[in-house]
Amino acid sequence: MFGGQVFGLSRATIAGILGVDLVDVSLHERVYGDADPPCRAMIGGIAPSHEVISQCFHQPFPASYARVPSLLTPEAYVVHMALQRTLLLRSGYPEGFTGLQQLLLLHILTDEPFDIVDFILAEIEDVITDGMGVVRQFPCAHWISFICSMIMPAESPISGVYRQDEAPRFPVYRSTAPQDRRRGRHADRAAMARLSAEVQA
Amino acid sequence: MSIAAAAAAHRAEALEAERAVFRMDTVVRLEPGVLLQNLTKANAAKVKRLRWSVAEEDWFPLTRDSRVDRRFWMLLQASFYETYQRRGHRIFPHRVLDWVSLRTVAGGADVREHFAHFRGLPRLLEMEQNRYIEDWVRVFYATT
Repeated sequence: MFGGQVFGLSRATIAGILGVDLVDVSLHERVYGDADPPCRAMIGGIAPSHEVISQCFHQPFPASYARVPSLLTPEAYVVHMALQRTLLLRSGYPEGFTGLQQLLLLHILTDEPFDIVDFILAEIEDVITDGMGVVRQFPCAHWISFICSMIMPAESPISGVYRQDEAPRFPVYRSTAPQDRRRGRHADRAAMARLSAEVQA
Repeated sequence: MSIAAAAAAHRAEALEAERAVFRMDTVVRLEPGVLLQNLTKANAAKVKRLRWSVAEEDWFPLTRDSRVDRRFWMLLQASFYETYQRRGHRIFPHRVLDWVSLRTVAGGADVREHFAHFRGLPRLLEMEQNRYIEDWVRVFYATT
């Protein structure tokens, strides 16, 4: 609902407004199957096999190694951290690397298509269906606002608010390198320490 | 007053009403004596029972409940809105990407190229669409 009106938005309409393609690949479905939301609260899900995910990590990467972000290649690490602040929002617990995060990273790094609209909607559904006991932050505020501004007539005073310079904006992400000592927690650093100096180089 | 003038006056009045609604910020306007549900203790199962496992016509009945301000279709939606406020739900602090700095941190690897394989994705994550209107987002989460 927006501007006192009820809008029925199809996935195709949302994809059109955001300028992305609809693809018949749902990452949430691959990880959580047909489980009802909120999926994020579920432990586990199906993570990519070691065989396919290991390409994202420093080599050698035996199956016995924990899949932690600190062991990712520099490129994979930067992409993963950028995704955490843009598409798959996670704050806190930086050493965590869920099945969904792994699968998303893998798709981005291997250029394998997935449905971006489905991904965004599943994250929103997760927040909506969560209980009130969990204080969750509302994701995708800028995309929701953009879609709202596009569905209202341009002459509407409501959509005019969006175009004003005073509307708040999200800032630019400042990334850090994997070896940056200001980053991460003890577990992250411990994982790095387990690697030989040669692998870290 | 001519029909055209009356229509223009009506339109101006409607626009002013729209402006007024969107100046309200966080306050839900209700008719005197009308109360919202306190949902602060609603767990996931209850939330789903109230707004997920329901038919569309239950979430958006044929007529709007006029006892609540025009941002909402019915009292339950306004109750969710107010409970989110009371519980302190905030906007997630997204970031937008600067490809040049990412490339530097990634040791020269062209990070953007990976994102560019997905039509529209780089634009979605850049500066262009990074503004937001907080109350629109709150209403969205309370009414969707």
